[in-house]
Amino acid sequence: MVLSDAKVNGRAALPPRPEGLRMLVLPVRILETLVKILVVLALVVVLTFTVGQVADRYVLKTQFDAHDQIARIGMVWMAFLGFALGVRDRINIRIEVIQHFLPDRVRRFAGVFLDVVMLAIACILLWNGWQLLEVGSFQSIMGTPLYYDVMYGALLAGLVLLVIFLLLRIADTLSGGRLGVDTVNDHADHH
Amino acid sequence: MLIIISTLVFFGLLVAGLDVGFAMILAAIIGMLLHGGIDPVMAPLTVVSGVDSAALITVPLFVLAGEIMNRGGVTRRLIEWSTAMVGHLRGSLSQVALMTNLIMAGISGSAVADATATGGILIPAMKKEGYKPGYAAAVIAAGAMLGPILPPSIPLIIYAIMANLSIGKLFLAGVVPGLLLFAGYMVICAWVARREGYAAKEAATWKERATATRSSIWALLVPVLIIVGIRSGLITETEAAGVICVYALIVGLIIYRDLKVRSLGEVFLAAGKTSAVVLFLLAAAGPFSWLLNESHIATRISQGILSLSNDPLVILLIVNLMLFLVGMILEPLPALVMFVPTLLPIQAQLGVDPIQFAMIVVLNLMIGMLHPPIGLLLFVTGAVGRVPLLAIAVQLLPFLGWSLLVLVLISVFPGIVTWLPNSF
Repeated sequence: MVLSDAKVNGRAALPPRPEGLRMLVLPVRILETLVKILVVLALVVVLTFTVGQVADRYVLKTQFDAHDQIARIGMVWMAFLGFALGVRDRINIRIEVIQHFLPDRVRRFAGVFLDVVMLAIACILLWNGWQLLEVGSFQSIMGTPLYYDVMYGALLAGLVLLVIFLLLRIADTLSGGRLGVDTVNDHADHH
Repeated sequence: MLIIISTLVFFGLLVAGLDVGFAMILAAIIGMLLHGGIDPVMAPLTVVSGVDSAALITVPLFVLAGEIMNRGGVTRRLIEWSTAMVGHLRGSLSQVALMTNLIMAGISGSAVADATATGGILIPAMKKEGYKPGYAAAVIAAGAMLGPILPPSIPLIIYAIMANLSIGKLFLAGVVPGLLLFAGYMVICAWVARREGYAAKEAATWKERATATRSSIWALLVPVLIIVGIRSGLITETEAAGVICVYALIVGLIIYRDLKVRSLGEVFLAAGKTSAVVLFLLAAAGPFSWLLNESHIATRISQGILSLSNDPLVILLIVNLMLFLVGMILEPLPALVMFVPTLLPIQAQLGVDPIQFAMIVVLNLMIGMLHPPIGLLLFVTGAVGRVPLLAIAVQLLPFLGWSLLVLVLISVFPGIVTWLPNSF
């Protein structure tokens, strides 16, 4: 028995992807790789400065006393950038009770609807969050030459990425997967 | 009215399948609008402040340590060690699964990570030896539930931060209940093995045990290092998490050599994404917690519960029942961030030891991972072992029963929880 292409990956068989649409794949992959590198770097910063604090106290004995502040900044950046990646990979925490009982078509529609709701919430946070940059630029982070706009900047950067990833996913779903910019399909989903 | 509408919105979005964090944020924004007079900038501001805490640094670092250990060949060595130690007991492989999970609990602190790591190897092995598939998955699910009870535990860290308690003391508080659960599970495994006729392996010789211990000693030392490091005062909880990461890197890269330098990026990325998802939940709880505080809703809810009885035990029973119901529809972490602000005034009013109360809340919510409909560990072991959920749920009943009994015991006898943290 030959398996129908229509069943491969649980998606309908796709017509060949037009050349113009494929142009999006490379920049999206570059962006995704860049964010992954930033998440790894942020975690490296968290680890380095946390362990560095111990090394400093018992061995190096420098005058630097803001290890935990730098580690905290790294953690906040990791949290917001990593969450955007988590949503792209669909590992964010959600409870799918109804979805499992829905037919494929309705489930895909529900998925788009939920993505639009998330997109709207992200936009509301972004819209109201810009002024935090201004407020934060007056609040210094003790022991460092940095200001709180670094923290608020992490939220905004994460939200911008989230908006991009959600728009790509919605566009990909609406195009029937022809854009090829959404790495995970609904069937590989968890939770 | 405000909280009713916000809560309805939250649960509506949750059931619809929206991301839990975003459901909380939207419900909080709606609550803020209904409350009136609140600057909308409070929403993003409280999102950042929800995660802006130095103590939270422990979360990504313990997740990273677990990830490094798991990929560094620790799981395989721990299974070998457990086989040498308890493989001769009735229900051999099920006892090995429990023992492996007990030690893994002292390394990773994440039930899902433990269930995935041990289930991938042990469920097929148990099925091959004739164990019922549902039972094999149930043993792994029950064993993995020990992860968030024994130190280091992500839910305990989060509770400690939210309730302003010592992480080190909460870690110690989990030891006795965790061991009680483990002992009961072992008895259940022996009883089931006797009933079903599951064989026991030949006992390992002392030489084999010594060899297995030498091979796994680096992993076995992790929980000891964490507790001794923190309680000795040489390092803080956060620093302990960082030091354990370095230790795990040395063990994985230099001693066991199962971890390759080129795969480190992948390990860090996986840990980063997992932690980010957990941390975002806390960030998203920021606006909701702020709203609860601002409108004094948490106090009013706790007053409502307290007015039901004057007997602290009755109130604890009500709280336990409420949390059990919450555990049926919510995963433990979202439930924790949602309900802890409401529960803290109850604990204060009742005069219950905060450490005991913390363990009651955390254990109750963790038990939620073992029962339908949202039993996360049912889904994980079902997926890992390719076993139908209903078969696992039925086989989990004795484990669930014992877990609930332990919950009752720690609710009635605070000494079970408080003895160890008060002794050090």
